[in-house]
Amino acid sequence: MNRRTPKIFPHFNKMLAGLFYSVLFFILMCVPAFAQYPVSEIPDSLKSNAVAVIRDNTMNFTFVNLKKNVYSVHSVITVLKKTGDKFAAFTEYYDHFRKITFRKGMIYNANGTLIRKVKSSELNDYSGSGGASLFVDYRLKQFTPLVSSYPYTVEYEFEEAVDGSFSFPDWLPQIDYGIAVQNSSLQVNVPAGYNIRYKAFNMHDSCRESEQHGVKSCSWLVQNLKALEREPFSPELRFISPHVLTAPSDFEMDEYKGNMDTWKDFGQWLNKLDAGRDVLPVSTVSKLEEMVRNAQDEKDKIRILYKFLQSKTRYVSVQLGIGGLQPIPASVVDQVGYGDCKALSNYMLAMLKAVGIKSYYTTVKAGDYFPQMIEDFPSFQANHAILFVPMKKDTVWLECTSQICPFNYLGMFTSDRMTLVMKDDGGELVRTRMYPANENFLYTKAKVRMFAEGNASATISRSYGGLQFDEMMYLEHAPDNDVKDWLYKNIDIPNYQLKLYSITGDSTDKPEASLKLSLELVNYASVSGKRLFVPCNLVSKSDYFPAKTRERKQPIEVSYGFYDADTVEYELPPGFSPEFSPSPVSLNTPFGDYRASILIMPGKLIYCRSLLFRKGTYPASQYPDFQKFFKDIANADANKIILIGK
Amino acid sequence: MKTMVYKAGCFAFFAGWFFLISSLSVSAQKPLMKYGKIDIETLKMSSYDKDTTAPALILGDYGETNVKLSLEEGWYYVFTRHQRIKIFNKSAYDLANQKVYLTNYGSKSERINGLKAASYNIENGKTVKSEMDKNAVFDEEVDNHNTKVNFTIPNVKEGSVIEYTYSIKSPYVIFIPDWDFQSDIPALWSEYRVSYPEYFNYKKLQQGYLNFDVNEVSTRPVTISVMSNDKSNGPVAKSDISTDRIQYTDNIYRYMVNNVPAFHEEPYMNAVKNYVAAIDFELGSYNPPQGMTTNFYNTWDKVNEELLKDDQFGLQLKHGGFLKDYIGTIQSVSSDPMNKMIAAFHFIKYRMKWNNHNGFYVTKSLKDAFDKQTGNSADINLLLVLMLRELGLDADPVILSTRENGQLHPAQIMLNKFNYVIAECKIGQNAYLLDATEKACPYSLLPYRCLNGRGRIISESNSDWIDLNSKQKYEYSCMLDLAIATDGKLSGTMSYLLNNYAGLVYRNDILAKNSKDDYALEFENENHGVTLTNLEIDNLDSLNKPLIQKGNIEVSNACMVAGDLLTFNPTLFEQLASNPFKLPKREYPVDFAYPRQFKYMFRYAIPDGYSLEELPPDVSIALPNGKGRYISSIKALGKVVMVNNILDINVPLFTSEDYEVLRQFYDTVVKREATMLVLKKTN
Repeated sequence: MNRRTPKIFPHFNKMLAGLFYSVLFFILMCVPAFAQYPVSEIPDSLKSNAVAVIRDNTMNFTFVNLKKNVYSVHSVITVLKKTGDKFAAFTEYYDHFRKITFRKGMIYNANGTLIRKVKSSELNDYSGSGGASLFVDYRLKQFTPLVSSYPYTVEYEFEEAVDGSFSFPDWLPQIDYGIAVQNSSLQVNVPAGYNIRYKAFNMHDSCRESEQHGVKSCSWLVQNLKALEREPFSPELRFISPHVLTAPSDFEMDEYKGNMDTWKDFGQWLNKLDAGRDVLPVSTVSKLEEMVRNAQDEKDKIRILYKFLQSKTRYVSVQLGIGGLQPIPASVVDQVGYGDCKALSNYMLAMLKAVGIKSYYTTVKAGDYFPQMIEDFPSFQANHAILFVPMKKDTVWLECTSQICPFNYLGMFTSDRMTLVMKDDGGELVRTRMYPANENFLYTKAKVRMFAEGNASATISRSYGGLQFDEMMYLEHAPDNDVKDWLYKNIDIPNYQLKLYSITGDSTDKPEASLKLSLELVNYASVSGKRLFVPCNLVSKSDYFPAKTRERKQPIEVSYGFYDADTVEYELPPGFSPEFSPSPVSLNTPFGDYRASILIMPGKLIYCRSLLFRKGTYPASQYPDFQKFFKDIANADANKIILIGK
Repeated sequence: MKTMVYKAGCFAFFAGWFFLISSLSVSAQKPLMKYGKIDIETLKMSSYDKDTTAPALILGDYGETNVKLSLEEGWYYVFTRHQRIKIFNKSAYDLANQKVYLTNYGSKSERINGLKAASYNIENGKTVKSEMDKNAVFDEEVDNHNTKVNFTIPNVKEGSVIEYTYSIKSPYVIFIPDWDFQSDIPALWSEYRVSYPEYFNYKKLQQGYLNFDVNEVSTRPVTISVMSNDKSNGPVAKSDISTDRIQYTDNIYRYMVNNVPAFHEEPYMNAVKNYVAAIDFELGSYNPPQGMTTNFYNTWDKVNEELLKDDQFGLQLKHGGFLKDYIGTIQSVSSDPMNKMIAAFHFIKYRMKWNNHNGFYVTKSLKDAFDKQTGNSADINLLLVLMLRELGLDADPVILSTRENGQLHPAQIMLNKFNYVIAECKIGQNAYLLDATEKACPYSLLPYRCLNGRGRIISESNSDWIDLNSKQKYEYSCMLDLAIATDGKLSGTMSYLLNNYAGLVYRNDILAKNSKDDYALEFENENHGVTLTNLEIDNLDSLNKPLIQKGNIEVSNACMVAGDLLTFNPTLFEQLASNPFKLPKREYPVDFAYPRQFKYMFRYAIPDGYSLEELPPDVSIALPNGKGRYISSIKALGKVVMVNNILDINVPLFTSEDYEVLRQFYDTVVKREATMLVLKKTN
């Protein structure tokens, strides 16, 4: 029985409906007696391409003394579109060192009429773990205003009291793409005589300074910033939008006093946190000495101990106390066999020390988007720890949280960037190694036997190297089902069955792996009467295309290069011969080089393809050429050979 | 937000009675594992022969829940868990990090006891045990009512055996723990035992596709010393208490599955929890030795009755005074029932913003939600019911389980399996199901999440089941009219007509974009080589009409110039290039949620001097019993090639037996849509 509604709307009179809704909405929106932040006060230029407009953001930061800092923030944001909802939420983290006091929350409609007040009891209080970390002690106060019609405006006022003076404001008024800013200001207040350190980007460098009653203030203001559009291959937002980084000179955290004027000073403080935590039990020391007794050289010793680390420990995220900065002592890791990046790097350092090898605890900003450190501004910019082992001729870098990473390999997560190395006398900047394009390779060799009805069978062998190996590193050790899922998702052939597959890592610590596949391809070639259309490119089709944007504004940044080379041999079905074979393609551009060609031989075709993609930075004006390069590759990769039967 | 657990507060059933447990003889069979006793053979094991690629194996998973009585706290239960796992591979290390959730409402809270965990490794031929230290346990307050106890087991390596055990003491006897026998790693055995006094009757619901190897019921006598006094006399002096002995029977249930295979998710699946082998419990009735029987939802009528008088459900529908002005306005504009229903639906939909929380209990009150203009599914849809009733219409709430929440089993009367409520409005012979949480959803459709079997109407007079499954389809049609140039460029017009569920899906897609411009850009970015200009979107706000998208396109990379030939795939960017069902076998049903129809009408004008080489024959295939069909025809009419394809999926659900046929059906579609057309120079 069809109890559900008919599709059409039989009786409703459209005019009546119009009248009707306007009456309803009139009741709903009474005329404001007193309007706050009406949307009409936003200049049109700020509305274009924006999902939300920061009407006003006033951040007042006061360094009261070494033991106490206070933030006081007033913020008003108008959400123009549904996609801007997330920017209207109130989200502040806190922990043992930070306390949040919510002072005011107001929600206004487009006219500026108060919809309602937000009470501090309405704020949710969540753990900060978000499921990822096992041990965290930070929490968050959170509130999401839910307003049905757009635009709407929210206003918040809160205070954050901080124990200690380690972290200073990192002020990025334009908090994201698609956000326009009407007014935003930062004021830093310190006792007269205290040295405020700052660095400004994309705005005038100096602050407006004033001093009264023994308090020195330094302030910055931005107004009428238009929304920025997200562009692929562009620098990080903090490098293209106004940004002020501030940092303490003298500071203190949990009784540890320090100074951040130079990297050296800052490193000394971090050394203090680590001091005495690199001692291992005597029994462990003698076990380690025994392990490296027959090692060939120093590098071999490091390798042996690194392998031992990988077999003994596992990564467990522990973010407790002192802002998550102090490692668990090596003796504890020795006992329990787990730790976070700090604990495991420090444990590795302790083990090397036990056999007489000097290594250095190193902090780094990790991330596969190659985040770069601001080198000329000593401040806390890291989110990860690794280990640096300089030797006479060689240098070894160790990622201590991974049980599967090859010895002395860093990968996308930490390679090619500046790090802060904790030398005995303090911090020192050292760059991690860069993997050049030719080391980040993907070589494909395949044989495909074609059949007259369009099916084929293929054996494929692929070698992955360097940064292209990163994904294979995980897959090699992943559960079988994950591997199968990955293969079915990533082998870009419309219809096939996976007969055999294997992933083998390199036995000599090179960041390399090989993937071997045997596939039955169903309808690989499409049949049209007497013709077979065979796609030339078997598994390396590039379908990436740098997104079209309105007008490219930022330079193009390519963080790493790579090199792919394919040779695919197609054995033709009996009775078929090539009717058409695409002409060779050769593209030489500043961004990279591409070649594809087909060699016709008796009974078979050999397809060769190579793509070299270069690391580099190019002006925005070259974006159309950059797009064209990818488009040309995609077109060439989509070419088909036409075979004709007798 | 009110949760079911909070309801345990109504459990004040022991006025006048204090109980003291003198003996509780537990005589059930001993579990198969003893903490700390590890067989060296399991340590030497290097893989599991029944699933050689499994990264870990559950050697044993044992759970036990006993409902008991205490002098201070009344009824409570103790849940004990003991799990032992063999780790084969690094990718299973996460199993050494475990979490236990505890709930507390007011003075009633759950407590964890006896948490122990250890790893075992072989070193120099000997078993070395590493016991977990207290430092490795970390309590985390998730929110005001929930605590998470995290713990991590030391010294876990490839080859380790790990185990942990703990008990939870809980006052919430309405909800004793459910048990999952299956997870994403295989298990040698998994067992759950539940015991409770004869006064309780729990409903049991078995889920999944595995059979129990043991499914036993037994009883045991329990003796209790009872000290009786009159509670109203204030604090109890010991001498006033008369001691008596009463005996009752515990009912004991035992469920065990051996050799449990790992559970892996497959595409087009409904909620995972519909498929994982599990047993769920809910209290049906409570019959204390002296006093009235309390039925907890043991019949659907009882469920109906309880909900109607619940202060966060039925009673909320009694107070509609705050809507008076709005009701008056609607009444003054139209007296037609249909108009009034639609007006109320629009009004609630546009006033209220859904907070993405499901639920069938009102958060605070309907008035509070109305004032805040936001709420969960109950706040919004019960407001709608209230408004419809105030308008004099025949409206009732319908409770249901969302797709994500799993399927309902109508024979199992378990209120905690529901998690959502919508409105039903009867006008004449028609019943309309309405959900006002989604802006783009017209009154004729229910959102995707609600399409899950049947819902239960909660009503004074009409309580019944109602079918939620949609008769409406996902209707997608695409028309292209393109001219082919001799250089391989195609240009012309496209238009899409998206109706019913397709309209809903694409309207939501458009709402998620900032502008029409962005939408057009995304279209181009998704279809390389296509340039889209003059995009027009019609009927975006006329939700009961098809959504129309049309514009001019130019396609630069679809047609290959091959010497004398122009070759192209006439399905262009609408080609179904690969089979969504790649895996050769499937264990579980394929769930499309609603019937689907895809229609393509493409028209190509051939350039002068060229003619079509070969006309591929028409394809027409059907799935058995009219469940689906695919028709594709290509015709040449003078200088024009017409392509007409229709793909119909007429039923939402395909069983695993249908899978092979469905997969082959899609193979045929994929093969057909890979067909190339060849134009040849005629001179």
